[in-house]
Amino acid sequence: MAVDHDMQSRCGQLLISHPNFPKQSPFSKSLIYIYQDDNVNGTVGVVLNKASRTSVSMLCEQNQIMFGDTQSMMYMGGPVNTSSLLILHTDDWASSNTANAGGRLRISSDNHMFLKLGQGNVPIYWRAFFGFASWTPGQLQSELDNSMWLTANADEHIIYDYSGDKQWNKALELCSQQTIDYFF
Amino acid sequence: MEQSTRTLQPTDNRLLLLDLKATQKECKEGTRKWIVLQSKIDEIVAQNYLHYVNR
Repeated sequence: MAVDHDMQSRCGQLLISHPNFPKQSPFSKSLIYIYQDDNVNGTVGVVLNKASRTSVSMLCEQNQIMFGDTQSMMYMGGPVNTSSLLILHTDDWASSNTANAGGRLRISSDNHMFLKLGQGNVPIYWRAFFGFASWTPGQLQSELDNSMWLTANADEHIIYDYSGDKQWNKALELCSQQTIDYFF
Repeated sequence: MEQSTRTLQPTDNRLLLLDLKATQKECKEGTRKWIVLQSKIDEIVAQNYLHYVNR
């Protein structure tokens, strides 16, 4: 099936849940990085700011891999396929199944990536996830039209240097800055 | 209660936003005043986001 290349891809953008998003929603105060977006497959991204209780070293240990860094946590990337493992990282590193994720970012998902990390072969910046978030073609646009999300061009500093509500707040600040710069 | 029959012009707070931004530039980043101003700026942008983007 042909892809409509005229569609403006949102790949590489941040989706910031609107401050008025219902607090009981799992997407309240969520920040999502979009790494795939076209009008055939829809939109796919990972929630950046919801850490799980599992550390990367615990996950590695379950797979008989030694990983010395006990601080890095696994993140809940979204409600889809939560048993899948993904790493969003900078383009200085690759594994056997690594794809472009917009700008200088790459997304990897394969059996070797944690083995490489365990061997000390790590990207400059990275974050690992359980699962992802996805939208069917047109679904995200409809949610954007209903003011459920704000958008901003991704900034590596915000993707990797923060977590939790603080990361969402920083992204909101980035959105404000970009909106004022672009549209005023 | 009496009601006005005049048509009221809605505002997208553009001028207020620019004013807040100018005031914020005079404050040191990270101070309480700076953070309060940023939070007002974020609120206005979020409320009017579609209007700004689609203008």
